Amino acid sequence: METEYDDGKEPHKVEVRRQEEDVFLVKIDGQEHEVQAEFVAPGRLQFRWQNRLYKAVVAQEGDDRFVFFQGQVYKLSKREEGAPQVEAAVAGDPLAAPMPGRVVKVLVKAGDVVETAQDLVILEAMKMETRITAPFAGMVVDVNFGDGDQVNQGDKLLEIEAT
Amino acid sequence: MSSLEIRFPDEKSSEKLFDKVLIANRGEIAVRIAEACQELDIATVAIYSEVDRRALHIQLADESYPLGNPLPQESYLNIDKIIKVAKRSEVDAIHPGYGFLSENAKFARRCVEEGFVFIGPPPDVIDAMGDKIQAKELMINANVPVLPGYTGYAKNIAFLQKKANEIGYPLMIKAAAGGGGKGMRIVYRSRDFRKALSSASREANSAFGDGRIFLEKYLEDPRHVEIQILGDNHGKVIHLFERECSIQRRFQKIIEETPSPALDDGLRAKMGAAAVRAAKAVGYQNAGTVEFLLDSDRNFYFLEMNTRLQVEHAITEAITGIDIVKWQIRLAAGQPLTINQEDLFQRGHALECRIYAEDCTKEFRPAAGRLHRFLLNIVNKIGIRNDTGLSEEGEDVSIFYDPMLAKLIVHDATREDSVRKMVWALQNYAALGIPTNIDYLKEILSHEEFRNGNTSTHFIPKYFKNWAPTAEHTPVGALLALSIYDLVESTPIYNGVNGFSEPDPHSPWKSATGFGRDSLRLGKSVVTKISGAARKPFRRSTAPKESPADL
Repeated sequence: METEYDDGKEPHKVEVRRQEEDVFLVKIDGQEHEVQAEFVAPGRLQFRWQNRLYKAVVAQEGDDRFVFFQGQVYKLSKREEGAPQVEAAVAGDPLAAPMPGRVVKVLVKAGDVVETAQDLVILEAMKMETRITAPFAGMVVDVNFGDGDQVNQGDKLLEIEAT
Repeated sequence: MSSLEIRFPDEKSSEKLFDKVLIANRGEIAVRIAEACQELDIATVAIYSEVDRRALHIQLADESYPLGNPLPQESYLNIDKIIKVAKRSEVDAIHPGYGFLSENAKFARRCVEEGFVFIGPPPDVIDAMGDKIQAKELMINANVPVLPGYTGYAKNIAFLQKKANEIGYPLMIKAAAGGGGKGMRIVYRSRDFRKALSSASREANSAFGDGRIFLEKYLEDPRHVEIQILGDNHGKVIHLFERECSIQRRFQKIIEETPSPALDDGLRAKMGAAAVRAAKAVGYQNAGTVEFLLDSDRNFYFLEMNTRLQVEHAITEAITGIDIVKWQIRLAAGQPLTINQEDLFQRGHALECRIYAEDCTKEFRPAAGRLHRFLLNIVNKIGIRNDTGLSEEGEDVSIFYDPMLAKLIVHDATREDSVRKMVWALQNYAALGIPTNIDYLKEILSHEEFRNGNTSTHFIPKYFKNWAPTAEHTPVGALLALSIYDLVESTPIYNGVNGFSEPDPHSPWKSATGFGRDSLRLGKSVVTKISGAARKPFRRSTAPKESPADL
């Protein structure tokens, strides 16, 4: 079965087959590799590839995969062949909460006219403040949270209509 | 250690220190204190908010009590709740750790009033030093140099703006009740003052429950050098040398070291003496730290006095051989300080890195979520200390508290050796699930100016202003590991994570035949296959970027 791993830069097509108890044949982007691998603990494996020994630690959360390899952490998402690509809808939305936290203060209300870069909401997470500012000039049409509310990452905090 | 002669008080012959201590904190420092108490044969009581109910510090304590709501004000900052637990569990003493209530004189006073020993200085000393304004005045009287500024109590914004303009820019706004960088702002222009003032005040209020601020001239490019002190209840005060904590981001220390590359014996003795003088002037007892700014002309200025255990105390422990937390407990119990200044010396060099849950690609925002793995993958941790409140299996990192995940401390013969050891250790630190600053720390340690000891509090803004991790392509090796992991993980025969349900993979109770649950375990045959010549390239391959030749 072919699996696709996307590291955010490019997708990698991977096919893996177990040849012997501890020998795996892995095809990555068309290239075949023979790997001898053992798990030394849950999520921790060491493997021999091209006559060298490597170790790695792997963890997962849903389709997300985290690989610790040679001192670096790589985050990839797994897709079975044919599964549709999911677009991150809220990524980069300047009016969405960039992190989970608490609303310290909402500085505007519906109907307010705001200028570009004007402070709109003060968020706090782990005692650090972040200001949400207007990405463009416009009018506030909706405010979705109040002072003291908890918000999740990606929650749309307010709506602005451009003037 | 041959010339370090300390006659430790005999705890057996004298009265027992304490029967039971409440640890009014969480995370790594609660773990640190619990283990020190265990060593001294003292029972411990832990407290926890809802999100910490499975935390390591709970598992270590003899008793633990819930505080409910995870909001700091409702849990670790809630004096009434904590005192109630202390009464119910009948403890003798309370250790506040750092942060939270550690420098809250009201709390210390309440402890004393309710009949508990507060493991720290007397409440009046906390008051005096906690009020940074009063502290500054006391230092002037004790002949300790200070920076110019406004230390009045005025709240009027227009008046403060006027004072700020008089001091000149850049200047610092600091929380009168501050510490650890919270509620601090640097202001470069007059017109930015008001905004910074309200923001600093609000952050101070949130962190300490006190929004008062004061103003101080901002020194260009200083080093942050602090002196650890210990004082007993009988008037004796000694210092345990310096720590340089210049590597800071947004006033938050991230790398600390001792000895400081900037100090020679003469300056060290001068600063040590000033710190002892400062401590004696206020009648200091227990462990504390006098922080100084050191300019390029070797002038030093009193910054503040921290009347508590510092996050970075472990590097001092490494080079002096003194267990500061155990001494805190002994001193609080009234035992005399039996270490003499002349017996102390600095042995080698120690370095600490603070590992934070933060996203370096998104302005270092604190990260929260599930930490799936948090593993320092080194077997013999020679000269390596990893202080954390998290288990290796990882756990949820909540948004409610400080994002520090661990303190990694190394100790070696020279600065060069310990920097090298630290890079190697970080290279083997697997933190999976949420972003951390580990790569960032490695980059700082590898920077030429850091290697040369040219550190200052402007190091980060100067050399790492727009730093972002280099987006690397996923190496084939990582994809190999991942694909094999996923194949094994999805194979139905392996019930559970990678087929592991027993803790010991080498258990003699397991048979090693067939395509069964044992077939992926590291058996004897494999150990043989990967021994010998394979080990050398293995070591190189785990650290290709920071091989010793590069250091």
